[in-house]
Amino acid sequence: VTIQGVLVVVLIAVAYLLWMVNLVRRGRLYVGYAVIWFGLAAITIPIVAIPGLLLFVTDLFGALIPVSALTFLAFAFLFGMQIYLLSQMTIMSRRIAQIAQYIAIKENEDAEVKPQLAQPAQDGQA
Amino acid sequence: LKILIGIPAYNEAVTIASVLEHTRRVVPGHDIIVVNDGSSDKTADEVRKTGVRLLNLPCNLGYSNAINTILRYSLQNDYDAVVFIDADGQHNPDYLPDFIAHYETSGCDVLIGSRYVEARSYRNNPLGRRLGMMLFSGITQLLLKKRIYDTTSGMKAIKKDAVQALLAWHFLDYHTEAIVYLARLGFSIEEHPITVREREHGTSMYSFLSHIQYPVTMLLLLVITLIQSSLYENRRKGGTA
Repeated sequence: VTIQGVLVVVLIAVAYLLWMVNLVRRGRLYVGYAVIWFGLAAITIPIVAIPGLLLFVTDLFGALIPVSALTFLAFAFLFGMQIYLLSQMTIMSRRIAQIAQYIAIKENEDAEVKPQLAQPAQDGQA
Repeated sequence: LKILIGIPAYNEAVTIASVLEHTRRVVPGHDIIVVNDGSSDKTADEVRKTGVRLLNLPCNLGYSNAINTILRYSLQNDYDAVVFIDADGQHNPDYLPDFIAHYETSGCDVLIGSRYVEARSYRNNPLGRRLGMMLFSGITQLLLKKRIYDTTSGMKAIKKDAVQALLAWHFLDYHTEAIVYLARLGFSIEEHPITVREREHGTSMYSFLSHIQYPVTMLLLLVITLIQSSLYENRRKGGTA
């Protein structure tokens, strides 16, 4: 990997990190999700920037060239993230469904209690 | 027994009122509740006109969540059992008195209104459905050592204990996987013969694609159900120990 390549990766990583910081600041990204990507950057940037480390990782994954090892790692991470995010979506939709169910039951209870509450007032007026 | 008749409804404005009037006429002693699952037609208005209790979901959550709402309601209001029928008029309410009587006298935990238990054949169904029914009925035989002939019937009676067990997990559609789950937990399941009418209005929730997707999803869910039922049973034993 050339110096130019390292610079491009680092610059893109920094741009993404700044974007995420801004999203967290504006409440549009949960800080827990941002931490995952910060962690990834903390691991990836040294691997790309330190040639010995990159060659070690390449050997470790049995890849022939560093680019293959990095591509494999990127795909593995993205697949993992996809499953994680789908799981988060499922959890959220289940919570929304439960809330909707409680609202429906509560509304019915309120509708049944209202006439009972109104009854003594009407009697009092009569 | 204090029994609640639960009817999940989605876009059934044309049929719901007659189903409710008919149900009220044949089983006057039982409470009825309708869950309107975010219908875009006038289902809720039609239910209100009849004076039957209505749980109005603010958006469409799907069949399993409509069923869940009824289960939650039944537990909160201390019903001994829930009987489900469909809102589309396919389940003739005339079957309800016999169905409930069978449920009360049999002492079983779950009673299924079964289209096939009498004929023990799926001959009059389209090929896709026939294969699906044979597959899931065969699976119940294999896993439970007892054949359930109609695993996808929407007409069911479920006892309070079983309701609690169902709410402890989540189900896609409360059919095969729920039956296997409850049977594995030791709840007794029986079938009561019924016939269903053809749907006259509205559209079925099962599309062409779902005939392919459904069996695959169900098979995966069944494997997970077996794991989950074992875990729940262990937890239950741990709790009572």
